[in-house]
Amino acid sequence: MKGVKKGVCWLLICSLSLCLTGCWDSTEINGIAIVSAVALDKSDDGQILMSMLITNPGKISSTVSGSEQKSSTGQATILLSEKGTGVLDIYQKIQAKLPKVIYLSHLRVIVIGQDLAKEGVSGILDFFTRYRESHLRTEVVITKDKAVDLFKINTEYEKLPSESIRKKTQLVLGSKSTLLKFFNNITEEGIEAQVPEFETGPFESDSDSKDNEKQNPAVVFKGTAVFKNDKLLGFLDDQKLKGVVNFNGSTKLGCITIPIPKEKGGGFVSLRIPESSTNISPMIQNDKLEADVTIKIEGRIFENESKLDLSDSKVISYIESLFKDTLNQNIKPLLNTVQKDFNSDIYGFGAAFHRKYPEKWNAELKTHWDETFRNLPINLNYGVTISYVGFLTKSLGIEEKALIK
Amino acid sequence: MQMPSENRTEENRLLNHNLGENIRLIKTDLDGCSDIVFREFKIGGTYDGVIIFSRILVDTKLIDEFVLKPLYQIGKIPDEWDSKKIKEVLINQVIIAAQIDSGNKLNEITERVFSGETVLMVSGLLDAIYINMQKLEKRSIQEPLTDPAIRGPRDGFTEDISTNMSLIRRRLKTPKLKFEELNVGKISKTKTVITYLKGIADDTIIAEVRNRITKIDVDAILESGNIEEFIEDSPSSLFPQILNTERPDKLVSCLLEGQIGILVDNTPFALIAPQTLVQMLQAPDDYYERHIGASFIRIIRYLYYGVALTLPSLYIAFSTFHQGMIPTRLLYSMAAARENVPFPALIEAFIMEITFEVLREAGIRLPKAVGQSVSIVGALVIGQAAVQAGIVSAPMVIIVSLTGIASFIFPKYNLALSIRLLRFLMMILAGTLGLFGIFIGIMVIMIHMVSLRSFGIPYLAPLAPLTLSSLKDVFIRAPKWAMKNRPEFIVKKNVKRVDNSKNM
Repeated sequence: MKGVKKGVCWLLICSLSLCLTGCWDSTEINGIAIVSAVALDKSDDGQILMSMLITNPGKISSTVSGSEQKSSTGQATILLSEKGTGVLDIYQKIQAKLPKVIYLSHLRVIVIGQDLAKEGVSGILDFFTRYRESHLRTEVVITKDKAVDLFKINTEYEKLPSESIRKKTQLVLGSKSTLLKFFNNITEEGIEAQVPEFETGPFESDSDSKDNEKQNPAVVFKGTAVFKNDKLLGFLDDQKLKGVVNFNGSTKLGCITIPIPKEKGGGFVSLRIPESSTNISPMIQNDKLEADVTIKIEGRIFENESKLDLSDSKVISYIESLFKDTLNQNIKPLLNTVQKDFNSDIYGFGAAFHRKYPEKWNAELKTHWDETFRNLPINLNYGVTISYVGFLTKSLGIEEKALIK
Repeated sequence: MQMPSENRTEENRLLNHNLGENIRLIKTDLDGCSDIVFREFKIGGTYDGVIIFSRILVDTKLIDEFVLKPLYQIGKIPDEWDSKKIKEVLINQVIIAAQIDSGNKLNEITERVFSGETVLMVSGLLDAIYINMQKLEKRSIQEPLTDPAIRGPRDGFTEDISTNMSLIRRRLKTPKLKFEELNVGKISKTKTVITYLKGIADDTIIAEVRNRITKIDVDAILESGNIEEFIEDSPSSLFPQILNTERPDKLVSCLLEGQIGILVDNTPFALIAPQTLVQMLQAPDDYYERHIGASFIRIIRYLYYGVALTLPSLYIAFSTFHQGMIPTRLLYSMAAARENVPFPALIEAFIMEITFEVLREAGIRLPKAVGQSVSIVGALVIGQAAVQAGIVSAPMVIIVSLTGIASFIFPKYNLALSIRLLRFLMMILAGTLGLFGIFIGIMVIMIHMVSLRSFGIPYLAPLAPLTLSSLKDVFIRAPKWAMKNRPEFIVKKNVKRVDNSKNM
């Protein structure tokens, strides 16, 4: 009998404690609006304009359970915008428009417009680091356009612009640009943040059809945005883009085109760069600061438009020397811009000094690093190898005699 | 039961000199038992004799040939012979039977008759002679249905306890193998045999098993499950603490590891005690197949032990509390699949799980011919139709079928049953408290399991408490030649399987 009483007691304790829990925190998947990207802009009247790209899962996956092949009306994403004084304020306003709870755990990309970024971003990004649903793996990108325009594109493979942007950052830049990295860079001494820059551009670069650009825009990686503390300074793009890619080094898809001088027959050779690494080694000699940068690059020739005979090792070493020159041409002006124009140590020369000479850094260097960095002599060394010339050595279609050794 | 004093006297009543009186007493006892035959005759001219037997339990041809015929041919019994001499001559020179015995208790006679023996009583004799000429209808040895194995002996226990004992004795040709016989059940008097290897099995455990079985106070034992319930350490625990098996090879391998077998008449299921969780997850095949493959399968089994317990609850917890932990792409497809489902995940899971349990139970109960069609209809109902109707989502079907399959991989049905029950508890916890609830559930189950004992052996041995040397046979199955020792958490002496220094 005692055992039965004890059992009943336990049963009561267990079953009644269930009433205490409730299901306050529980939300069914049907009840959440999954935000995949957020765009932050400055509105005309000086407020913040935030847009949320909310996914419509039923339209994303091709095989929708339940019914056979629904008629594909409706978009894969819903774009909602609102103006307000702060992120949470806007969050509340957007929530008022939605029948589902906004859910930020799957936020993949935060796009910031350049107008807003120039005024500093740590204020508006604070919400995304503090809120319990956010996480620091979210990618941060900058655009010269209005940030929200990046969501108004026709996506190619990905049904979500956010996925498209995220994948491109990783493919083209070779590294992620997460909130974590961003805040690490702006808080660490001796290094500044750089963030990938995306713009909308036409899918087809056909100059004749101008309206194509408007109808069918794509999101294109354009370069990187340079920050000083949390403020945007400017962009490294167009001409500097090659240098950025070469210097950053970690990309798998990088390629470089080397022009061959006229006396060697003209044309060009193109290389793929599957692997490269950049190493900064700071030096202090007689109180003079100097930095050696060693860029090790392995190139694989995949296109030879010139008349050079690639079966000859002398030719290969000649191309290697040209390769070095090309790299130098790309990187020299880049470093110049970074040092002189922006004066923002995005590659972390200061951090390298900090690591190697911590006492000296704390005692004097850090107080006037900006000035020191502006005039820091940087020696560029290249370790260039061409490891592979493709399936062909001698180009087809060119007679043996015409080949230049 | 109401009049214990009368019972006691009846139990101890002895035979008296008067044969007619004895027969009368026995006849009143056996009144209404139409199968009992009283065959009266004369021996040696002067003596009256009677044989009593149940005609459905004995071979009457044998009785005719080897009991009645010699008795008829005995001739004149000399007057100077006393009753003792007559009994001696009858047993030693007249009746031709391998098993012959005598006794003087009245109630023993009825017992013997019902267990298939033939009772011979002669006037003037104070003892009755029991002749075993049993002929019982029995099933032939067949392949065990509940303990199938790809490789391994195909013989299984039958309902006949003698056959079962022979299957064991055949495998262990040693005098160390003991069979202790007990009768359990006030009415059924079921023959129960405790078997063990003397010198390997722990004497205190043997004594404990014997003690617990003799203490059973019940009218009838119909199956070894009845005994199991009486002798278990924690009868209200969800986890089985005694293993049952239909396989003699399994029983013998357990005997060799110092465990004790309990055979019960009229059931093909033998019990093995003490038992641990780890042993319940070992299938007989594990030891007959190549050890690497067997180890792989065993690891899978452990893995799916967890899956069978927690998969639906993890799904509920992730999809209602921790959506942030689901990979984004997966979340999109889960959300798409759940779009039109009207129920919360917990209810959805309950509908599916209970439907599955119903199908499974129906599959067991239905006649074989109908069973097939039920499973087809069931698969269509809970699979395709439910999803198409939008009552449940496709991922839930996957989860439920995966857990369903996972619960079939346990070698023992009663262990799977405990997991199936706990699964529902875990689902409720997950639906109310999320992952936190699942961990509470796992903690409670773990605490319960480590506190369980099976005849004094910790239920999670050799994992908790940890016995490193016995881990060879837990997650992996070490090759036979590497397992030189018997499991040390059960066997206290004679630990070495092959000891060259002395003979076993």
